[in-house]
Amino acid sequence: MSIPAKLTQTLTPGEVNFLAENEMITILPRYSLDKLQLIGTRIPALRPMKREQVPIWLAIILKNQDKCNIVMPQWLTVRQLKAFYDQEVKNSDRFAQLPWHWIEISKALLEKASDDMPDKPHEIRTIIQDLREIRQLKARKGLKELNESYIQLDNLSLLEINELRPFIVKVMDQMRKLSDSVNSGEQ
Amino acid sequence: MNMNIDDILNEFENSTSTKSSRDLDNQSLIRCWVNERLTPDLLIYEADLVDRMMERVRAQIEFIELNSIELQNEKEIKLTLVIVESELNRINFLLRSYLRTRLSKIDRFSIFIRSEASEVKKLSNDEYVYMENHLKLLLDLYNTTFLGKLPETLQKIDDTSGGLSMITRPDLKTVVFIRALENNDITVDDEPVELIKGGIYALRYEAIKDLFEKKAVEII
Repeated sequence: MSIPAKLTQTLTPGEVNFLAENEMITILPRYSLDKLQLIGTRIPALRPMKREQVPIWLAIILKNQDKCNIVMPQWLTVRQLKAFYDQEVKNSDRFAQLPWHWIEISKALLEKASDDMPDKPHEIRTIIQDLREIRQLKARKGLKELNESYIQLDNLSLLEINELRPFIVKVMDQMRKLSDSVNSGEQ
Repeated sequence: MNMNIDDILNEFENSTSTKSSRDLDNQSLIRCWVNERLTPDLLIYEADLVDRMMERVRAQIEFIELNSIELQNEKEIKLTLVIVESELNRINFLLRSYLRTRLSKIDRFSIFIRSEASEVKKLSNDEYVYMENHLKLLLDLYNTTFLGKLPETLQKIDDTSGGLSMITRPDLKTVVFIRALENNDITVDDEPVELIKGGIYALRYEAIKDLFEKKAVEII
């Protein structure tokens, strides 16, 4: 088997995480490192206290070895997340515009770099959980609208889409088969 | 002003090469892998891209071998090697998963692919040879184990008569998730659907296949 059947036409959470780790993040190096040519990117020379943008996977390696501090993205603060949460509550018919990989990135940063957070990590964690729950609830309610032609899911993040994917694909497929057989029966 | 000349030079270098060809290749490989994974049909093989990436992978392995023998005790090179190796593993994963996903589609659809010249064109040379050999082995197995014992009229494995085709082909009606990269109007089941730039939709692959090929939507 070249690839397990369950992996066709979907991604695993691990693979979604892999995609998230390719996003860029700002770090504050505490250590010098010459610039480095990699296969898929070039890492700029790192100098202590000089901010640089690097992929998240690299930031985590450096952070694990205590060689940098991670500058938290602007959205990952209690204030900003609360604002997102308020939007979720206020607009029951749409999702707040969170980053494409907000769950994975916040999880990684909470795990690996909570000491770099200006806010209290447990507050961030709570509010992330609240956001996650209210969005899941809304997504499930929205599934009532599911029909065989299409559904719109604006502002959901990739991980959230990936969670809904098996269900939506299967239901839309079944509905299509039903409506196809009804139509052919009428003729 | 406490910026030294190195900083200025660095900044200049950074601004001119923020998107190097390597970054672009890396992003396209990620995109190709996601596309191949999430579409029902086989896509065109990205020969040049894969060749370039493989060449760089080879060079990087050489770099690791050279440096891990000579400079084992230096701390700086150790961190560099950790970074280089992690990245190498990430790229290898992408390449492998991309190629294996294609192989799984080739296995499933080989009879269909062989019957259409436009499908055969999507394969690399190696993939074509693989498909032919794999199919031959499979047919030999079928023939010796059970097909040979059946009446001749039932021996076909690509029978399309009787309104029912035996050939497995990609189901273009499968639901895929897309993000619209520009505004477009499409029709699904005689119903107009407006795709708005940035919007995310789940709909049948056949409805957006053309737009996908024109890069007006991306598969997610």
